[in-house]
This record gives sequence, structure tokens and C-alpha cells, in this order.
Amino acid sequence: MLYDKIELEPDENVLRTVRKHWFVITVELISIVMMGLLPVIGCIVLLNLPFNLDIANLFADNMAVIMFMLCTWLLLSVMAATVSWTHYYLDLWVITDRRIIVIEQISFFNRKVSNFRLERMQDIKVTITGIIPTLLNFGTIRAQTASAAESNFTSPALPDPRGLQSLIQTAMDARMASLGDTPIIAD
Amino acid sequence: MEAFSITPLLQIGFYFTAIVYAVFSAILFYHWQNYSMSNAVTLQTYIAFAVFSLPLLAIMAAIAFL
Repeated sequence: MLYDKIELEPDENVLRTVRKHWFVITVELISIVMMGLLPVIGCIVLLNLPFNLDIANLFADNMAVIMFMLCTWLLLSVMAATVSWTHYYLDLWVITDRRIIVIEQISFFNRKVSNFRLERMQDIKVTITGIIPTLLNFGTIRAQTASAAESNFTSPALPDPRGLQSLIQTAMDARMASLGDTPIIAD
Repeated sequence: MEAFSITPLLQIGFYFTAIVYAVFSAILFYHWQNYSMSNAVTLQTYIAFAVFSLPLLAIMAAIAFL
């Protein structure tokens, strides 16, 4: 399991694990299901056309090939849906009281795991753009660290971004206090 | 002139699909075994994938070989 590989430090506590908002995976899965069913619906419509075409005979003559191709297409759709679900579920933020671990499952053979220590965080920005993100309360979080620019990170479609921002900010302050430092409060 | 038979093509298509499916399943299994956070979700994913995909493969095999 994943926690064995992350190797949390002694006394490090996981505050929250976050995945992308459910709306993201729902839209993806609905699109895949619609694409998967499109040829099936197409065949049904063709067979039920009101005017006299010889499509029924064409289907009857080539039933094996048509069924085989439909099954192949549906199988590819099932595989696409599984890929989508895998990327959704394995894409993860783990917020602990010492760091943020961002795991990005970009594709099956492209996985990125980044660690951002709370004491090195400088700024966290939340962006909620659009009607649906506003209504369903999801958005993008951008965090800036004291390290090089490439260690800044951005994650889109996270649920309750303001709550997450607040959680991270509180954890940052607690971490700074435990290290005997005072957090810098921006104007 | 002999009539063209589609059966060998369907059988080759089935073998090709089965190989792709096996490779995909192995990759999927590896990822969920290594990176999942929950055994229950992993098991549910395996079951859902098998329930939706194996009947389709069985139908394809039946069309190609029976």
C-alpha cells in the first residue's frame, strides 16, 4: 500500500488526504459511457429507420462482424473508464503536520511524487473560476515555496479549496511555532 | 471462386484483443497493488473491471470460435 512507500517521519501525523472533486471523475465517466454506447445506439437507430432501406438484411448478413466490433468498442470503453478511475483515485494530496505530499498519476507510466515542507511554504493561492466550480465548491490551489520556481505546485479541481488553504495555513503556523520561528504574515 | 470467410480474421482479432487485455490488466493490477490507499477500493476496482470486461471477451470468443 501507498503509506508504506511514503515513509512518514516519526510522530508525523496525516491531517487530510484529498483527491480531485467528484465532479471531475463523474464528467469523465459519463463522457466515456456516452462514447461507448454511441455505436450501439447508432445500430438500433439504423435498424428502426422508418423508410425502406435494406439495412436489416445488411445487419443479418454481417451480424458476427458487427457484434464483434461492438464488443471490441465496448471493451475499449471499459478500459478507458478504468484508466480514468485509476488516475482519479491514485492522484492524491496527503497533508501532514510537516509537509504536503503531492502524488500525480499523469498516466500509467508517468507518476510524480513531490514533497513540500510546510516551513518552506511562502504563499498559497486559491482560484475558483466558473459557475460549476463556484456552485460545487472546487478550485485550483497554487502554492509557492522558498525553493526554486519549479518546486512551486498547482493542483486543479480540488474540493473545498478555501478549507484546504486554511488547513495548510494553520499547519504551517503550528510547524513554524514548533520550530521556534514566527510566521511571516503578508499584508 | 471460393467464398471469402471472415472467421480467421475474427479469430486473429480476438487473439490480438486478448493480448492487449492481458497486458492492460497486468499494468492495472501492478498500479493498484502498489499505489492504492485502500484494499477495499482496490478489490472493488478489480471486481468492477472483471464484471464489465470478461463478458465482452466471452462474447467475442464465442463469435470468433463457435
